[in-house]
Amino acid sequence: MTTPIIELQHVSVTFTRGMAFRRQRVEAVVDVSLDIHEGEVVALVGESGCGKTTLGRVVVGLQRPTRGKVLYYGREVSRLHGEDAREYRRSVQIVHQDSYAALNPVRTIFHSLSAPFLHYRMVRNRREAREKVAELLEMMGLTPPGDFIDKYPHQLSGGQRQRVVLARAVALRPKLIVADEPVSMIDVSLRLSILDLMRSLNEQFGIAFLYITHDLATARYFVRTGRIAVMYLGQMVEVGNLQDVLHRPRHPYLQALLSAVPVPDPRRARKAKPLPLRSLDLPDPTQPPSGCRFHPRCPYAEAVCAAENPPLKSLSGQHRVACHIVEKVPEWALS
Amino acid sequence: MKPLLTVHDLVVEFELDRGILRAVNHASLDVYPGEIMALVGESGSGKSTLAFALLNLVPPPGRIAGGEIRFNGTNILAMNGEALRQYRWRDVAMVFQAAQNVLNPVMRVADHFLDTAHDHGETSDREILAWAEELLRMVRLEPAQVLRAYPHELSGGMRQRVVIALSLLLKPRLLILDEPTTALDVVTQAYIMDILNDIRRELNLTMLLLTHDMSVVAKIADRVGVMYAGRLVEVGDIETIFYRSRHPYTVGLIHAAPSLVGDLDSKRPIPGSPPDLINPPPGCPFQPRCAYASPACDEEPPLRAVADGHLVACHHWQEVG
Repeated sequence: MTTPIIELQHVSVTFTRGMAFRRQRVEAVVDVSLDIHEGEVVALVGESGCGKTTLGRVVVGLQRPTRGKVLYYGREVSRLHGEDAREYRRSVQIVHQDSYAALNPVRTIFHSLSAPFLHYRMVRNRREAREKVAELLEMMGLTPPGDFIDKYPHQLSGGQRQRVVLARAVALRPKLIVADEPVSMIDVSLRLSILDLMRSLNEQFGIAFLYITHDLATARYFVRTGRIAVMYLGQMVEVGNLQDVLHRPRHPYLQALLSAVPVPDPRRARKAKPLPLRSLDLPDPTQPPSGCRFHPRCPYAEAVCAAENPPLKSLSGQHRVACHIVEKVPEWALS
Repeated sequence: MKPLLTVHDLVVEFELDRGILRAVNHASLDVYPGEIMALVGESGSGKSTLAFALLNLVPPPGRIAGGEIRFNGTNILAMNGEALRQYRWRDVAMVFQAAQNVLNPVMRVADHFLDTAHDHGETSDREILAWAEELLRMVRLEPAQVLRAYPHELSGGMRQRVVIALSLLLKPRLLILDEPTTALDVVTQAYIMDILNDIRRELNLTMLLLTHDMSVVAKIADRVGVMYAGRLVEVGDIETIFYRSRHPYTVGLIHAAPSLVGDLDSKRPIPGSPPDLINPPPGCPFQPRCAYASPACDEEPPLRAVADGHLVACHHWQEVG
């Protein structure tokens, strides 16, 4: 197998807040390992507070892991210097949820999009920069480019702005884009068009994507034959090929989550029954449960679940699950 | 059956620096007793503005520029003073968007119930709290524990349920819910929809649910009104809207809603973007994005009945579906 673009090895991130006697610790990410290969599409899913955004920030180097290593083509990111560090930063880009916050409101689209070209000296003058930016806008479906290049962010719709943000990430031909909830603030009629654009960037230019979302239905739409990794309270609970995982989810948390996702089809939706959990609410992240963090809510939990943190174990092929009692958990499938 | 609420030809405008924005544009709608009616639309479709108008609460610079709203036969736009105050919350209550953040952080939950009831003329604290306990049990919370708590001691899902219970305090006949589950995680969302369904039966309540999410509509609504650019473009029962829609926008919305099940190839976005409501396109507002558009669409189509209980505003409805 080839060397992955990014390799996370036993990454943990702990945040502390407050002072001295009232210090609180939140383990946002606990011992997570994940590889992302060239041209690959991976969905990182979980509910709010599961650590998916923090993990995304680790991948792009915006957050230093408290423990564990991040490798870029086999070399530790924290030890990269000079040209190597520049190459890593250029090759691994991030797109955030809020496109309005991501763009400087007093700069035109041209100003924002020419910045990366100028910074990396990929153009010689302003005219070349305009050509490059126009090309980029065209590639992003913002046509004709003349209608967009001199506009300010507030003059564009949410969907158009997110295309501009994606354009800026793509400008330097990255190897990997971490897209953190890129469509959750966009009108429902346009969400799929942004995901389609990301897919075509993957297919045309081989850009790998780590798609971070709470929305399993859009993960399915975007990832297709790629992989999915599911997090719960900082831990990776299930990972594998998306089709295998959705077809045969094995972790009790993922089963419950999938059973609760509403479907846009009334006949199906009214037959669906969410699987019961022992508690509806997430525990306090400053006082996470011992052992498997899901055990207080898990209908199948046994003594071992409170005692020890279950490792990710391989079930078949790439499909791995972190559950002590996975053999005893009844099979469940979407209907 | 007579409708509980009738909206007729309602127009709501906002006077902005750039010009007049017509957020609700000649919208008409009936809501019948005991049903869950969903108003579905994207941001800017006018559904929240319409809901504010139902309480005669349109915030400035907005104003109701025309039309009529009748609740149980009474014209609420002619109401003022004490009558309007009683209409709000006693007849119609509303759970606002991001309602889990509306509770006062320095007040215990019990005081929210007491304050609201006192304000509307109830005096017996014992009776108020007894009813509050019953309501909290209905939304599946532990009353003894929750009434004593401050809002920050409760999770988002629990706060949302407290707000729903609070909205029912004065036994309203109509409950308006604006995106009641949007900020909540999936498991809590499913649970709240379940609760809403139970409450509706138990209290024989009528609900008007505003949402952008076709999956939420599919789970819980009896009837649906689809809004686009301030207009109602299609109204029908749940099966009609999902399986026999005659409006290109409704059909587009269903195809644009991703799903965990079913064929991925049938999923696609709607091309283009929603119109600028200050400079709207002529005629049908969906025309620039519509595959069926023709010169006839330069004239705005009226909302008309194409079958019993099925209203569509489209010149080409017979070709759609």
